[in-house]
Amino acid sequence: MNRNFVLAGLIATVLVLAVGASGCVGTQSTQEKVLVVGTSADFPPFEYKDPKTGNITGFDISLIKLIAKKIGYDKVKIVDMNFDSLIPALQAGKVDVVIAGMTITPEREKVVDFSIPYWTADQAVVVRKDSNIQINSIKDLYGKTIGVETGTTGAIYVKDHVGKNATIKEYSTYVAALEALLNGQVDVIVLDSPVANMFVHKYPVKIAYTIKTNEHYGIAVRKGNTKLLNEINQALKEIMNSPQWEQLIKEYFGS
Amino acid sequence: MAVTATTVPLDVALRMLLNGTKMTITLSLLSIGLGFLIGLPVALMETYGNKALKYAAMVYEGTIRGIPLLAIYFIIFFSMPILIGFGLSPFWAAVVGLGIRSSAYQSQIFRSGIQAVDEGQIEAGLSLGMSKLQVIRHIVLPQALRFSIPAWMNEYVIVLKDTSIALAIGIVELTREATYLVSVTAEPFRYYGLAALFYLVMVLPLTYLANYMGRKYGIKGTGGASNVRL
Repeated sequence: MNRNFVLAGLIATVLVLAVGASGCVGTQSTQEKVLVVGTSADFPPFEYKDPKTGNITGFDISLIKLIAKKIGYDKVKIVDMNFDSLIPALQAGKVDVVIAGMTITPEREKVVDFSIPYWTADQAVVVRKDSNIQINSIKDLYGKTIGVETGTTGAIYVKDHVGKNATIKEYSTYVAALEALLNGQVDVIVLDSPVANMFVHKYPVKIAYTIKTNEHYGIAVRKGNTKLLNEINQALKEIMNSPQWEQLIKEYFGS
Repeated sequence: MAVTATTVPLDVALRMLLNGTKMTITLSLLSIGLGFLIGLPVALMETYGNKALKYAAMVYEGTIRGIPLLAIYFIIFFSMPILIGFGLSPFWAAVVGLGIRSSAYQSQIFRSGIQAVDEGQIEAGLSLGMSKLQVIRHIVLPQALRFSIPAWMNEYVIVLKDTSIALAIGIVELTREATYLVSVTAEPFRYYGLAALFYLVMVLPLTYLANYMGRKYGIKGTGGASNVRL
């Protein structure tokens, strides 16, 4: 083996590591106050990546930017990751707050602190447009094959309230559940109504029934971070009682 | 500006996927490099070290190979700050995680390469008065590394595909970019399919390169049973 070869390789490696390390030290101006926000940009219209601009945007994103401005932050840094990684990231201090269409649940409240609710969502029961399945109550789901997204409140609801009275199939994303519905592998799918509303225009499906689960979305902070929580709650109250709120809804949900 | 499931023009989608590809390739190169820097010494320790070194090397690669990559990422990214008070950015956590995992597998690749070197040569070197270190450096390593090329290239392909797991700690690589597109359009087959194509385009040339380098840099005269056409 040529000695120069090995030396060159070593120097190259050291250079690459040095360049990388300099990048990670960070060139943040020390005067700027930055709010680090964790989200999972795969849940339109609350958070998603706009293909045209490449920016992460959405109802939640605009909302947290408004809040950050109100409570004195100069900038917002959006950190995107898997939905399941958000709470661990919050606990480890990788992000300051989490806003991600996250439903307030007792299990989650054990490990994080939630703001006041800023959105109420229900679960939509979606069927194929040409199907004549009538759902007027939960009992009508008995005996059907139901598709849900794992880990969601919709999945939990169906398991708790229908359980063994139906065949429940779980999918890793709501898009997979939608595909299963279109293929005929399931009779109905149950998922968050904002998401369902998004694709009933594009695909031959319709909403047969809305389960009023009254889920509330909240903004999460690290447990014990009361100062930030109070600031966020105060800002939320002000925004929700101002015309900015209607504007926000109109922008992402249409009228 | 209500968001309904939209259609994304192809050039926009390709640009997003290309963006992710850059991250995938960067991550894979840095990780395989780190894996090499750690894996080769570990292989040498395991083959030629004294009892203590040998044991340490075995524990290292045995443990790392026994933990799923996702768990390694989570430990480095989430647990490290809590355990030792010092954390890494998602990018460097991914490089270190994948690099350490690769080093464990690479150490085994190099060990096989070392074992393929004929021991008669070592005896010859020692009898000529070479020290152990000289034998390793001038006789064993040059040949062992050349024997390891095909398996090492295979490991690189594995590393390339495993970069997608880093999306769990926030790395925006090729698969994650595809997920963004799928979320906005509700067309999984099209965009995950495109992403798969991108991976294929990266992997296929590497496979050919591996075969080519195996033939060009392989040691003539070795190859044993694969030299005979049955």
